[in-house]
Amino acid sequence: MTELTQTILGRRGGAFSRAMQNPHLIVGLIIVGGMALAAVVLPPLMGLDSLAVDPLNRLKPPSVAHPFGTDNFGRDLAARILFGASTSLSLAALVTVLAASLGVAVGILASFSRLLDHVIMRICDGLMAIPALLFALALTATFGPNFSNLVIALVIVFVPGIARLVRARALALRSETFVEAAIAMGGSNLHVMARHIFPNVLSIVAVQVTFIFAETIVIEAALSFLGAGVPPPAASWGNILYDGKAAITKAPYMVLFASTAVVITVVGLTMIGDGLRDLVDPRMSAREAGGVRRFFRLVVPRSGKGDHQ
Amino acid sequence: MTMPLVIENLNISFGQGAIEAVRDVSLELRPGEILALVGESGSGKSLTARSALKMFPEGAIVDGRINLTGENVLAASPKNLERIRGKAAAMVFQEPSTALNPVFTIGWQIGEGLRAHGMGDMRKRRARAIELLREVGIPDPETRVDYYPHQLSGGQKQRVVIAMALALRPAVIIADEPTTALDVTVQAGILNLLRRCRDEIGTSILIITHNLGVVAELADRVAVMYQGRIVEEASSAALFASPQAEYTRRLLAAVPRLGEGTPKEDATNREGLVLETNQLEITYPGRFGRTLVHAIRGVSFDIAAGEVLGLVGESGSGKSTIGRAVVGLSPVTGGAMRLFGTDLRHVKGERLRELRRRVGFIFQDPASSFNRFMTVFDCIAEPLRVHRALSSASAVKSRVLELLDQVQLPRDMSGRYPGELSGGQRQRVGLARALALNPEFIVADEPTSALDVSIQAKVLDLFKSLQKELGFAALFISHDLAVVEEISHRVGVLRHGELLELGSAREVMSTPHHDYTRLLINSVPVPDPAIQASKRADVQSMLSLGVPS
Repeated sequence: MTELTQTILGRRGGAFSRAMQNPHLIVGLIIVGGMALAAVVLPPLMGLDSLAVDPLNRLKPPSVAHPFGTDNFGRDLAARILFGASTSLSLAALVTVLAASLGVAVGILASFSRLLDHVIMRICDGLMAIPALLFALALTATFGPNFSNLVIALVIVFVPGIARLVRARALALRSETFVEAAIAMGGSNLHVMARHIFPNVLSIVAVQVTFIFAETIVIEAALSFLGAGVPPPAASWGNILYDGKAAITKAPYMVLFASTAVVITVVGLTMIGDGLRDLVDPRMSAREAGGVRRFFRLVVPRSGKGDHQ
Repeated sequence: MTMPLVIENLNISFGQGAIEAVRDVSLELRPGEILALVGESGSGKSLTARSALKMFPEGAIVDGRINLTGENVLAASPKNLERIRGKAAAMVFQEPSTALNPVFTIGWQIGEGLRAHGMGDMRKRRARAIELLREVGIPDPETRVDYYPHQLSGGQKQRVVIAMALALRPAVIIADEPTTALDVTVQAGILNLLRRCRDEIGTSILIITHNLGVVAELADRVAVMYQGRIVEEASSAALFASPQAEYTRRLLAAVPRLGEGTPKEDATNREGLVLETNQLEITYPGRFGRTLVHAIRGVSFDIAAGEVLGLVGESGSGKSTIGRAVVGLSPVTGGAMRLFGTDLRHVKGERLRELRRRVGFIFQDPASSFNRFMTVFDCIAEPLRVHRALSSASAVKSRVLELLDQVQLPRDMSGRYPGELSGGQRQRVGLARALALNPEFIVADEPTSALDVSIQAKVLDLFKSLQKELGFAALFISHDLAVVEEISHRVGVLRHGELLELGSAREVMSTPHHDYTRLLINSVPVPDPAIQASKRADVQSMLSLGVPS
């Protein structure tokens, strides 16, 4: 058993070391991780309060007491951006997880039943025909802007895309020999879905999910800016932008800092997505033992231990 | 007279010399000679042959001298290289369907090479293309010259590829496994065509192959490669009569030969039938008004307990469809197919699962028949888990280890992933998976066609001994007559979805009743130049008469 675990760990180590050699992935992870860490750790550490109003110090430029300055209510901008980060990131994480799990489930189910496939895919077509931002705006406008409604709206926006992606991959996988092998040995549909289709769609979903994460942050900011996002006075990057718009001539740094935070996070996430795509690229994966992989083995000197015949 | 191709001390390595793919290879191709380069996958034979046209994969470090019709290829300028390629030496590839561009007519593609080498007039090019197509034996070339590749059969496509190679009358043709993707009867025609290229045009041919039968049929001289080195070089007759190198001897011994299968006692009684088909029909529905596809028409056979039935046929004969129907992967649309006495037409759900539990299936391509996210252990344990056959995890584990022993794989391999194993090892895992539930019946769909000969021999031996030991019945599907003869008690010959012949392996091979069976048997190249020469005329006359149906 010890040998067994060791070889498995060896392989994991291989994947890990490949990830470590991927600059996109590492830089992206540092950016997003740093942002999340700062949002969680810094406010209690520095005793920041995003809601403390100080009417005497409105729209002050950056200073020692207020490193990012203050906003039009005299609230500390650094605190608001950090709280905004935790709002935006947790919203995006929640939306992404929900949308991904729903999308994967729907996509795999659709690939197993023709009738279900037609019904689900036509619904997806309908949903995808409406622009994401407009649709989310309409939903939050109807049900009222609060955090949970925002989550529901964004999940509905993103599920069809993932479902389509997963369905296409799952349909291709269903004609693969190993799936036929599982059916031929008497495996039930559920078994085939869970053991064979699911792990094989995960790689493409992982890539897609990071881009959805980034898109959620942008759409949340846009919705908050339009007043349909997280309701004030809670801080979110969109709210700060909205407040900053009114004071852009007197305090341009408000818009500057908030949008910089959005841009940095989105760039970080996109880099993670690119990095992940390189990692799950079929040319690098273990399944292709055919010409391509052999070729790669020839060209790239072997480094990992778990990669020998 | 200068030699068409001389390779001296060729070394090819990758990754700063970490992997030496070709080591110190020297070869000489004489005028009007057919030289065969034989070896298993990974022996460096393709790399060596392609180096004659300076076609290397990226990252290759090359050292040595290559002289093609007196010109130094490795030192040639890009402009010279363009001229050499096609004019001095041309290439015929393994897979004709990927060697042709699907969006252009074959006439245009033949003309492309002519234009690149200075034939400007379009009508002249077309006339030349028609002439070439006639030369390579494409019937009605005036019409076919405007065909697209998908309108031709695999054998015809390979003929077109050869026509393209011949277009500029090169001194050397390099044929890289030219018949590997083709059926035996088609292969016989292509080999004959290559010989004619040499006899009538005087081209020297360097043919790369892993099939020793092809070598015996075609080659004047043979060079055997093993792990990047040439281990033996001799005239074809001498090599087959008295192989010198140890590796050559092993290679020759591994080739299954027709008519040499050991006679198997027909101990099986016809009482306990495992599988029984009666006028079996399998049709695939045509889409949107297209006609139905009849994959199987009126096939009747049965398999008794403990018996191995071999099904032979060329591609498209429906042999795999029958195998898939046994486990319900293809629909039975007419007649009857009874597995353990249950008609597969009317079985669904739980009862089908119960039937599948008693049948093991071995797939052709071991690479794609495993989920790459599952370890070897999980792959073998899967059927046990699916059917909850064993109560505890430790029982599953000991059963899997026992199976690994049975298929002669080391136990510590259970933690590896299928992608990390070699083809032969993977097919052993496939065998272990099929045996996991102690099935009474095994369907093996071309289990060895993706393997090298020596590995094929080992896997077949293993299959045979396990069959004897465990006593399961089997349906063994293959395109290779010799393999089927070696394995099976009885043999059925399929063609266009019809069963032409069914009888004991010995009977069918020694006294075939149907002309097609005879053609099939005669088309298989035998690794013996003397026999091959005597058979040649026979096969050609049968091919030219057309196969009676």
